[in-house]
Amino acid sequence: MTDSIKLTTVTASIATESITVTNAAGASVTLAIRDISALTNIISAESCPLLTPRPAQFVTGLTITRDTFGADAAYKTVKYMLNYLFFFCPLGQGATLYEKFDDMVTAAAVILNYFGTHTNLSGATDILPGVVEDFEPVINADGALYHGCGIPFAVTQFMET
Amino acid sequence: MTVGRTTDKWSRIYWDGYDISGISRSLGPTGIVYDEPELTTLQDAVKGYQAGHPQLNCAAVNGVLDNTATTGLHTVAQTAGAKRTLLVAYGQLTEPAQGDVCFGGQFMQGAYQSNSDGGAMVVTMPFQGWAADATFNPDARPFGILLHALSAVTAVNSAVGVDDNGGATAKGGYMIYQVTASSGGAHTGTIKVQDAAVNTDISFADLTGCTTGVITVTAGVSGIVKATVLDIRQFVRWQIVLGTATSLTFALGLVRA
Repeated sequence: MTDSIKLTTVTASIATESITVTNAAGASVTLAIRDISALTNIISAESCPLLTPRPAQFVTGLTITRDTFGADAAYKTVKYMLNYLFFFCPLGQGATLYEKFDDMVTAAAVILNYFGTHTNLSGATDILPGVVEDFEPVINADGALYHGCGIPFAVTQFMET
Repeated sequence: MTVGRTTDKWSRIYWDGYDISGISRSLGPTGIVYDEPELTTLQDAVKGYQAGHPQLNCAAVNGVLDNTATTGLHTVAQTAGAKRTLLVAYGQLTEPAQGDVCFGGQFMQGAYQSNSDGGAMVVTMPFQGWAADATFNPDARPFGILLHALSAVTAVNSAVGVDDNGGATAKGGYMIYQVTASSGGAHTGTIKVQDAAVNTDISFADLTGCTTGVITVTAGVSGIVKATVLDIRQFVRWQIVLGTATSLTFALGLVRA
């Protein structure tokens, strides 16, 4: 039994998911999901809708617990949060500041529903969306505001798996 | 079948021929508990006990109050004081598969109670133990292996079986079957267990007595059947004979005594 923390496997799994959402132009598109190896400081209107790892505090609350006797050889469980940002469209897109707000909420709900019903991702024993604290706005590296929200994922992994 | 520990989200529970996994929240403890008469004598330094009658039971099934017609938990469980045929399949970090641990039998549902839990209406169905009016009174072992995970079958089984024990046994056993759907004609068919000393298709033969015989295999059909021989060879598998049914959706477990 070799233990491992498959954090990068989980992020790769998330990045390969295919989720169809309606973008700010009203078109049905596949949500772009970035892996941690594809992070850039460029997020533009053309990138959206986009789900990307939040560079600051990407992994939070990581704990490792020993579940059985056996010291180093014991069954252990690792739990952590992965924090993503959902960029839907620039805040000013649309005739009014909040014209696209409802579209963002609709798309975010689609994403949350998807991950609420796809909890068997490679690298995780269990994964579920966590507590969404902030619906709007999200900020790119240039300081531009976007309709969007933070989407955390609560990951549980048996370390021997 | 994989080996290791698992989580409860991969458990599946079948109740009187209905899959209630999607409306159940927890179950158990499942298993066996012995009475323990105390036989301490005056000169014993510590108290001593012997094993008395074992109790086989699924202590409780907890679910949501779901009144869906025919298959809802409220529909299938509201009549308490009844014998229930249960089969629990414990998937190993994935959907249950042949060779996974299972638990099952016919148990006495003692109550059906609804209450609120954090705002949701939930139900609890406690069991009292093996039903006195069960098809038979089993040996003291309620855990077995899953021979067929719930899925539709349209042809006989020519695949190899599973080695659940590392060798033959000579104490008999019983199967638990749960049919949740079928199609075709009058829906007749046969579900049975086969065993073999060598794990090749041609080696398998019917385990004597461990068969439903020709039955109507519509949804809601379930039962337990005891082998009429004691010897069960090392490898076991599921088998069917389609009568007028063209498709049969079922789960099957085998418990060696």
